[in-house]
Amino acid sequence: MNGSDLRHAIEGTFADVWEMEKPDAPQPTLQDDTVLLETGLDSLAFAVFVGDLEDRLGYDPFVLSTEAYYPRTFGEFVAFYARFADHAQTDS
Amino acid sequence: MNLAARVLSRSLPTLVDDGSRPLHAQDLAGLAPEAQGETLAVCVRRADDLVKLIVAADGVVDRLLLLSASASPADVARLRQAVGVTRLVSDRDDLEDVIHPQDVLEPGVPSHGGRPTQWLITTSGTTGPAKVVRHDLASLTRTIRLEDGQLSGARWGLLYDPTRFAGLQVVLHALCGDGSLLVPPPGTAFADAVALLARLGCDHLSATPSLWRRILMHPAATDLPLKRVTLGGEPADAMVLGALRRTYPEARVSHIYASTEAGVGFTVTDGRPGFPAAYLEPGRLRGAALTVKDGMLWVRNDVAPSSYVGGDALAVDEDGFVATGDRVSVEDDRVLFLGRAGSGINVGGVTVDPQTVEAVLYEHRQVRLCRVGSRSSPVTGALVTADVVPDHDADEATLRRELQALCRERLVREAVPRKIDFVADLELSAAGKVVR
Repeated sequence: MNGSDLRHAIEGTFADVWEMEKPDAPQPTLQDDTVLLETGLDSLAFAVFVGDLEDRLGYDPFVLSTEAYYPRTFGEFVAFYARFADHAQTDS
Repeated sequence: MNLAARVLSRSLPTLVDDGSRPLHAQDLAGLAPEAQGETLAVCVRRADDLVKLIVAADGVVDRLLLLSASASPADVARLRQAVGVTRLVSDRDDLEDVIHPQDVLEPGVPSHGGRPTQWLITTSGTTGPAKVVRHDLASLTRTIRLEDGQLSGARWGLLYDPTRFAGLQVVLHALCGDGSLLVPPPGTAFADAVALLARLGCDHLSATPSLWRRILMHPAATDLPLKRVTLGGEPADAMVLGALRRTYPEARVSHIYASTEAGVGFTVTDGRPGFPAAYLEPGRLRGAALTVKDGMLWVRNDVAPSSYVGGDALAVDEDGFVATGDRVSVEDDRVLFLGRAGSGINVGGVTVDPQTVEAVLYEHRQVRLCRVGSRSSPVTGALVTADVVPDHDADEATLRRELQALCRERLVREAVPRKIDFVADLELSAAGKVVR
């Protein structure tokens, strides 16, 4: 999966989770400098988001990373996932 | 000394600050005479109202039931009846038969009453209905030491529900320890709450590991001038402990292990997961004792043994120890947490009972068999999952949507299965039960 496919997959998963968790709120636009915490997604929804990404991409960088890193912006989040992209295990 | 006496003996005047309307000691009030000796329930949205009420009521009423501001009207009605509440104080307009705080508080100094008030605290359940645990001020303030120099002038951030055990600990530490409580107003978004606490100079903050992971994602996290970082409600892993020590090098990082049933257990401050095996030695902890039996941790509160109110009996052994439900292993000088015993799933600090979730799934006629389990989450510890054997004629996509909607309606959010897998069959034991 290349960089823009990865970003697209992350954005798509975010949109799906948002739709389930906050169906009455308008979808936020995700830009590189969007602060994740300020999107309105809470801990639980964020956990679901990360879990769904693991199912879709085949890996979870929060588990793979040896340092405690908490991405603050959407750009950092995507870069974090890109860094571990070679750990992807998918059936396709 | 009742709570009023302790609060009035403070040297610092500010009790609660929400960024716009602080509560000072001089704003405190007494309880109307007709409420004295009653079983008083309190359900208010603002922290300053809660503080005024508990200070006015302790030592004066017979029993004091604290209800969450977010409790449903059905829950409030149920608890009212189960506990035998004689007076419900609330500023909510969706509850019946309530008295507004203004009508039960009277100007004047709160009474240094000597009545041994029972404090009734609720714990959260999987479907929402809470259980009630009995405490008193002594058991709730066991770990607050006024001679601890670090407490005076402390600015305690409150991100927990103040009517639950963890939040109440923060409230009482602030009130009795000569500190102030910094409380974001009701309805404040989490990101704004963190920014507000930074702006108000919060230097003592207590939260679950899941909440801490979120706080660390906030750009204002480094602006919090923290001297004391406390974690509780979930096992604290080495990652989050390490991140907190690095982000707040000036702070003392403690992990508190406590259960609502047994009262405050103990604190760990060495920055490592689990706790020192030395804590298992008799007499090692003040007012409490710990023991490990068959790989499970049991706790005894020696100050005021607590119990459930309303019919449920706590599992207590002959030495007075209460089973915590937490599996542990003792390795050299350390006791480590392995996770919940039996089947409880810890989702961000909320314990979910799988069988309760299964009962809800079974309400859908197209569910033949189901088994609720968990998957681990680096964010909240665990998420709930379900394996479902559907009816032959069921459309999986539709059924999945319907089951999630059903669960959302009947269960707290944490208990809603996030992943529903349809399987051909589930193994049954000889007794005919689904094998976990």
